[in-house]
Amino acid sequence: MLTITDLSVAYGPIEVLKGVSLEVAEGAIVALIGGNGAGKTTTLNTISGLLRPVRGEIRFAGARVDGTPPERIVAAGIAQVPEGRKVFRNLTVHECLLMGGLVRRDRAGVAADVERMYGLFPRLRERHRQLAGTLSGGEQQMLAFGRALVARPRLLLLDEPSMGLAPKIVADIARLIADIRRDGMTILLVEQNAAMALALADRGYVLEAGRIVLEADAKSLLEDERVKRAYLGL
Amino acid sequence: MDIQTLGQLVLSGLTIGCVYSLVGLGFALTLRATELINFAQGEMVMLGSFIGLTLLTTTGLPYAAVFVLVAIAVGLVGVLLERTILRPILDRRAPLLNLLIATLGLSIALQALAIIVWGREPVAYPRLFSDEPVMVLGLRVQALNLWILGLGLGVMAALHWFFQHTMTGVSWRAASLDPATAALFGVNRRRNVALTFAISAAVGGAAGVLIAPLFFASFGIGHSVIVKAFAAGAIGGFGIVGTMLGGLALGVIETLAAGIVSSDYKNVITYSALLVILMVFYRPTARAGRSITEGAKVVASDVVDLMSGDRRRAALLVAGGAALWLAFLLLADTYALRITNMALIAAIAVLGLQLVVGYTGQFSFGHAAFYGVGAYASTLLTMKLGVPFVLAVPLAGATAALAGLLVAPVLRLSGHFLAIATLAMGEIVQLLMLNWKWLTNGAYGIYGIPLPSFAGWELESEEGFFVLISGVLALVYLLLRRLTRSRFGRSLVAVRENELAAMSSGIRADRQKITAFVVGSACAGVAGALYAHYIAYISPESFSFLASVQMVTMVVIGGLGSLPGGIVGALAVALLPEMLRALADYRLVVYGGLLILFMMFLPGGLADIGRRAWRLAARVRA
Amino acid sequence: MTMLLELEGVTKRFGGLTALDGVALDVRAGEVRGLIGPNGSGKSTLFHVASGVHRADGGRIVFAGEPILGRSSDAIARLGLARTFQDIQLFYDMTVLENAMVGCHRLSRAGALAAMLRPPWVAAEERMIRERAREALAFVGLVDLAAERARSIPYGHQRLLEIARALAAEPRLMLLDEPAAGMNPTETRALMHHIARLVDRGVTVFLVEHNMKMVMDICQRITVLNYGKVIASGTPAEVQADAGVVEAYLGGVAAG
Repeated sequence: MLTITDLSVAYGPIEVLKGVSLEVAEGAIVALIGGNGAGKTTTLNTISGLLRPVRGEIRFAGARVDGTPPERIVAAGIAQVPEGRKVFRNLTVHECLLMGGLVRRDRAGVAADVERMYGLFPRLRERHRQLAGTLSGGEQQMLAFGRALVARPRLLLLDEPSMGLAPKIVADIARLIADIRRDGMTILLVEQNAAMALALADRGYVLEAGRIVLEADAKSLLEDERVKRAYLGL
Repeated sequence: MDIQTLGQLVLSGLTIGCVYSLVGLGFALTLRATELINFAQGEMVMLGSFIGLTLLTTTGLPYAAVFVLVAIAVGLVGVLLERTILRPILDRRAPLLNLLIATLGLSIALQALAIIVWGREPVAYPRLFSDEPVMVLGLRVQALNLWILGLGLGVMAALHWFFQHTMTGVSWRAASLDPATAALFGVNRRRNVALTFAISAAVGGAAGVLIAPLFFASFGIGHSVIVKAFAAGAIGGFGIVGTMLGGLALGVIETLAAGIVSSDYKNVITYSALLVILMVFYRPTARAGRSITEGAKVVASDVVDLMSGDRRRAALLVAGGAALWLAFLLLADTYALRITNMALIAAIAVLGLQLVVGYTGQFSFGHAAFYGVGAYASTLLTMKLGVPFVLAVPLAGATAALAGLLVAPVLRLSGHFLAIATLAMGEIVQLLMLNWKWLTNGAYGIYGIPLPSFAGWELESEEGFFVLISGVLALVYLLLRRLTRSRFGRSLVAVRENELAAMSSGIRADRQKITAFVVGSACAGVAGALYAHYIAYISPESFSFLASVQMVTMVVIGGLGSLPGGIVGALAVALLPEMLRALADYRLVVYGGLLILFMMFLPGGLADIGRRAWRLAARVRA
Repeated sequence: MTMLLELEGVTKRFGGLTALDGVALDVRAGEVRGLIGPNGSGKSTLFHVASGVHRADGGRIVFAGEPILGRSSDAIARLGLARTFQDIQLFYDMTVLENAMVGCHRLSRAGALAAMLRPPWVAAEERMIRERAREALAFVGLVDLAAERARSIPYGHQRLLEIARALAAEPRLMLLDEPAAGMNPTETRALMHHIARLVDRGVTVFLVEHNMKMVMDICQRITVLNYGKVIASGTPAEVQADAGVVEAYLGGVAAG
């Protein structure tokens, strides 16, 4: 569904991605793991159209999307749950969810999907008039998921959904990701919590200093000595 | 004061407050969407008042209809200006200072255009409503005031509804907080910025139709409200509702101050209140982030330094410069010498400002205040106390330095907030010059300032002044050159580049900023003293906000962080209007336009041309 | 053994979030100490608080025998604490050499007046600054890039330049916030080598790092943070064996 070939991205003179290639099959969860500064977020932001690659191409459902502005990417069916959740702190929970459907034309459909999110996350319904900035970390993560899902994506980009969350909440999030996938969603999951990511994923890539250094199915990466040492803390 | 009068004052305060709220909203919206303070916001008010006047007198449409039409028309102007001028500069990620200068250029050009179209004289609005007062809540109110209040509050209510209840409004708020994440969900940044400028201009224009019937429509009307409008935003934390309430509160406070204290000190009180609010609520902690000069390609130890390294080349340059100087002294006529002398005096002040803005990265829109302090100090010292000229000039520098030290606490502010605080500080100083009549003779100014004299020998020829002024300039240049090429100079640039990292290297950022500011003020003071004894007449008018702006322009045009650039910039900006004299009324239009073009295409200033040429020459030789 | 940096009951809140919750730890003079923990566990906040960038809400921080809580970051830096940042903070429009020269600030004293009058000692001091800066650049192997703009050198080199700038201050303690982030394995190996040599020069190193191999290899002791609390402290072997640490890192896997 998503094919990235030889992608290079630079901030000014400094190249952050150096020829990254990866593939996400329809209905799969693919994990992209690596340390801070490896280029994981850069990869996602380039897919989302926030950054323009200097080289390489990105194809989504067969069509080239690299260099396409972000509003067209989200309309085409790629939504992101950004790193650190990035809920709009000055908006209410309800407004944040509506923001997810900004590019959709069917307002009734958006309203129905927001309602669906309230069903999925009853905590958000309780707090729908509260400012998003006042939610707890876990609630903000639910809101970030809900906001992305209201966009009705076919591919969901998740940027470190476990970051800064308590283990119990991380477990909830992991279960949520599994549920979303069961409903037929394709997911590209970027994580620093390699154990969680690889346990959920079908396939995994390891990114180091802007290059893919390992690529295998998730189970065998979990067993890989290098991954164990560098990322699992074992 | 009885309750009746108090009520009247509050009501008229709310009326003028509506204007501050609307113009302040324009500032707040632009600031939040683009991080830019748009100085041309005041000219939207001006355009609104004139277009409104034209519509009223030519079409006979009712006031409310004119109000709506003007908002639409000026909104369109806002979009046009954003498209043609501001967007290209924003797209280049030009340094903030360049953006500010570009909006100032726009403001100058629009004012000059207005003078061409509508004339220089203020024009009264036709009588719109009966002068017979209406009784409201037991208060006697003019119908006009009710209309202003009603229309103003109506627009605010409409805007509030727009931002709360439409998806466009909601997405604007989301994007103003976090443009990148909003973009992820489909908010097009450019369209959002265009919308912001449209709304800001429209409310500015609308405010023009509200304020002009109270006063007059004039080309300078914008300038009179922008500082207060900004204060409205600052009081309200630049929120939408906050700014609205801030403007209303400010209007009431100001009207009460005028009614209870004195209208002479009305603005002093308002500006001081603004300073206090900024100092208390807008004190940022040291941060990395974008420095005001970022991208302007400036380095303390200039890449191109013709004077160091090669001794023979340095000697040749000095000899060449001296020959040129001598030739000019011998050959130039009185007129050429006179305008050059004025430009060189400006250059002395500008070198000081270069230290503050170019090296330390601190906005200052109040430099002319120190120039004025120096001028008055030297004048009063020589005239009232009989201090000899040779002592009075350094003492004037010291007085200005002291004044700089006195206001230095504003340096805790950063970026735009510092710009506005220094602007308010400059206005306060100018107002004090006007109001302390016992000392300064007020608006009439002081005549007959003695000529410079050295042990009984009096300096009066243009040539003599040329020698004196260029001598002082050379001395100041030399001292500042040493200053910037030192541990101290490096620490200034470090603070400018990254305050967080500078402090983590042990640099006392606040102290370095203050020292630079004090030295800069001293330069301005010396320049002001020379100015006073040269022109022999001073008045507060010469030390206005516009004079400060002119000095910042000289720094930016010359090139941030370059001392020779400061001198070249001062000469270029001071001499340019002389060269444009043939354009008559169009002079300032062209001048403003040139500023904008400069900011678009040469953000590094004239010094950058020098650097590029030097690098090119080096490459050719290699 | 002398304690160079001691924290006791240090707490830091941002709004409703408690980033540091009664943290106690001590760094001994001469050791390489590691600070690890999941993202968002408060490691960078701890560095910010220790270096005076943020002010702790409560507790006690003592550096080299002086209580430093509430002091500004520049004052703490002058006491001999130098640091690097997770998101590199350089003077981008200055040259590589000038960046390192700024690092020498705490060792020199020429102010504005001295700069303008330029007595002989100022020239001598300027030479000293230049030499020390060059030496610091040579230490991390950047001396060939001395004349380049900091902006234009590669990412890995920018990280090293931050270390050189910190080193130029001849600090007693150096805080390194994720020095290996974004480095490839070769660069990381070189970095580990540099850190080992820092210790030889008598600099105590306190570092945050995600690269476990690096942390386990070069640190004598490691402190583990989670939710702003210290959950373990000890030798690499002890920490690796700690059940709480494994739980913190592996978090929700069991449920996933």
